[in-house]
Amino acid sequence: MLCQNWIVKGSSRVLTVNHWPDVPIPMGVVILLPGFSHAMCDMDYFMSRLARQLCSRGFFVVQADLRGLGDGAGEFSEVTLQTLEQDISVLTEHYRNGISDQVFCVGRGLMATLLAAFAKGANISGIAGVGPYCMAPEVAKSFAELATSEVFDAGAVFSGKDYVKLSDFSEDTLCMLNAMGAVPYNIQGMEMNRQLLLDLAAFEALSVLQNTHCKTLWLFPGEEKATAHPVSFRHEKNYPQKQLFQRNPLPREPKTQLAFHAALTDWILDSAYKLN
Amino acid sequence: MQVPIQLYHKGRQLLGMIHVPHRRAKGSPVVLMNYGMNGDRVDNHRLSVLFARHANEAGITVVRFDYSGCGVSTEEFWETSLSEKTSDTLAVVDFIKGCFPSEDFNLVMLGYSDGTRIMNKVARLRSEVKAVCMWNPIIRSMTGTFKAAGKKMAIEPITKKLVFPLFGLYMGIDYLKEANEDLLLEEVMELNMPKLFVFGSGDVHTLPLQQQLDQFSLPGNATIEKINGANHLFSTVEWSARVIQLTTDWVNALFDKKINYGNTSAKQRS
Repeated sequence: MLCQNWIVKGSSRVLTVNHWPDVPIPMGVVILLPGFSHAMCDMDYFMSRLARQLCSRGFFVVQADLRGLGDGAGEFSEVTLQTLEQDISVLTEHYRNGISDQVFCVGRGLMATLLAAFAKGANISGIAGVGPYCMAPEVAKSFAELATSEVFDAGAVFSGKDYVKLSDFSEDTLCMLNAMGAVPYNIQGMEMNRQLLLDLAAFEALSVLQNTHCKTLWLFPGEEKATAHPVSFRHEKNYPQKQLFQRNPLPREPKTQLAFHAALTDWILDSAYKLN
Repeated sequence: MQVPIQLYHKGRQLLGMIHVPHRRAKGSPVVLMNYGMNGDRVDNHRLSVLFARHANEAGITVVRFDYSGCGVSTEEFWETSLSEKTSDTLAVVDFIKGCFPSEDFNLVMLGYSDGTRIMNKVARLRSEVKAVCMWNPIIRSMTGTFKAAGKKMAIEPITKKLVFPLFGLYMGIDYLKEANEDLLLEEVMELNMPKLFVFGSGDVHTLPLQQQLDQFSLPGNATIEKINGANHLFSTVEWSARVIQLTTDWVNALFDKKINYGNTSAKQRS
C-alpha cells in the first residue's frame, strides 16, 4: 500500500511516498534518495522499482523529495548542502521514531555520499549507494568559479546541447554531472545556488566514504555487461580518476539496472538479518 | 496549496498532486497535465511543478499525476500503454470532478510531447474538457525513433513477456504498437474547442509538424505559439518561463470572461 505524506519540521518540508509492506512488523525502514536534481522516482523510475522490490521483501520503504527537489517545497535555487543535511536528518529521525530503529538508506550520486556524511549523527544501520559522489574538491571549485552570481543558470555552468551523444559537453562537465547523479537535460533549465558548489568545493567526499560509521555498499557497473560491482574506497590514498565518472554510473539499460536492484536488495536483506 | 492526491483505479494506485489557488472563483479552470512517454509528474527541470505554481498564482487549479507504471504510481512500465494511460487519465478526471461539486467544471487538458495522444482521446470522450493545450506535441508514429535507438526486442525476466528496451525501462508490446501509429493533425484540429500549440522552434522532434501547421488552414479556435530556439524539453530557464507564461495567459484569457468573479477586482483575483 502506498501513502503520500508531508514531513515538516522547522524549515524542512519533505514530500514522501511510503510503501507499507504486507507484514505485521516491517524488517526495517529503507529510505531512498534519487540522483541529484531528480524527482523521487529517479531516472528510469529506478528508485520506484527498487522500492517495490524491497517492500515485497518486508521493508517499509520511503521515497523522498527533499526541499527544492521534485515535489518538495521551495526552489532548486535554495538547495545547499545545509538544506540537504537538515532534510536527511529530519527524514531519518521521523522514520526511526515512528517505524523502526533499523534504518537503511540508499542514495545515488551526491545523495549517496551525503547519506554517508550524515550517517553517524542519524544513527543509520547501513548505507548503499549507486555511483557515490567522489570528486576532488578542486573539481567542484572550478565549477563554482564559473557561477557569476549567487543564483545562476545551471545551463550556463554545465553547458551543452547534444543530449543524445553528449558531443558538446566537456569531459569535466559530464564527469561532474555523472558523479552527482544528475543528467544534463534535467539540471539545465533550473537555477542553482552557488553556495552548493562552494559547499562541494570544501567537501572531502573521499574521507566521508572512507570513514562511515555503519555498513556500506558502493556500487558501480561491473566489467561484465549487465552487472553491478561493489567498490571500496577504504584504502584509497587519492581521489579516483575523474574518468570513473566519465560514463553514467547507472547505465540506462534495463538488465543492468535489474542487476543493481538485485545487489542492493540482497545486501539490505543480508544486513537486516545480521542485525537482528 | 499543494495537496497530494491518490486514487485507486483497476487495482492500481495513482499518485498525484493538486495545486489549488489561494483564491479561486467557482467554475475557474482546472488544468490536467498529461506528460510524455517515460516522464513523470514532476518532469524535467521541475517544469510541471513550476507551471502548476505559476498557474496557481493566476487563479488556475492544476492537477499532475503519474500514470500506472510511471513515476511513483504502482505497476511496472511494461504493463502500461497509451490505452492504459488514457484509462488512468479518465479516472483522474472523475476524481477531480468529484472535488468540485456544485459548479461548472471547466477542464483544460495539457498534453506534453506524446502526452498529446492521451489528451486527444480524453478530450473526445469527456464533455468536461473545454480546451486543450499542447507543448511540443508528438503525434506522428514513433517507429523511426525506436529504430534509431538500435535496440532489439527482449524478454522481461520476471513475466517472460516480449518487451522493447527503452533507456533503462522495458516497454510493453501494446505500448509499442500504439506508439507506432500516427495521430493525424486533422483529427486534433477536429476537436471542437479552443486549442493552443506551443512549440520550440528548435525542437527537431516536432519540426515536421510545425512545417505542416505552417501550411495548414487553421480553424479560428487554434492558436500557435513558437518559442525561438527552444528544444523539445524547453531546457533553459528562459524557455521554461516562456512556455509557462504563454500557457497561463492563454488559459486565463479564455476563461476570464466566462467566470463571474462577483465584486472581486482583477488585482484581487491574481
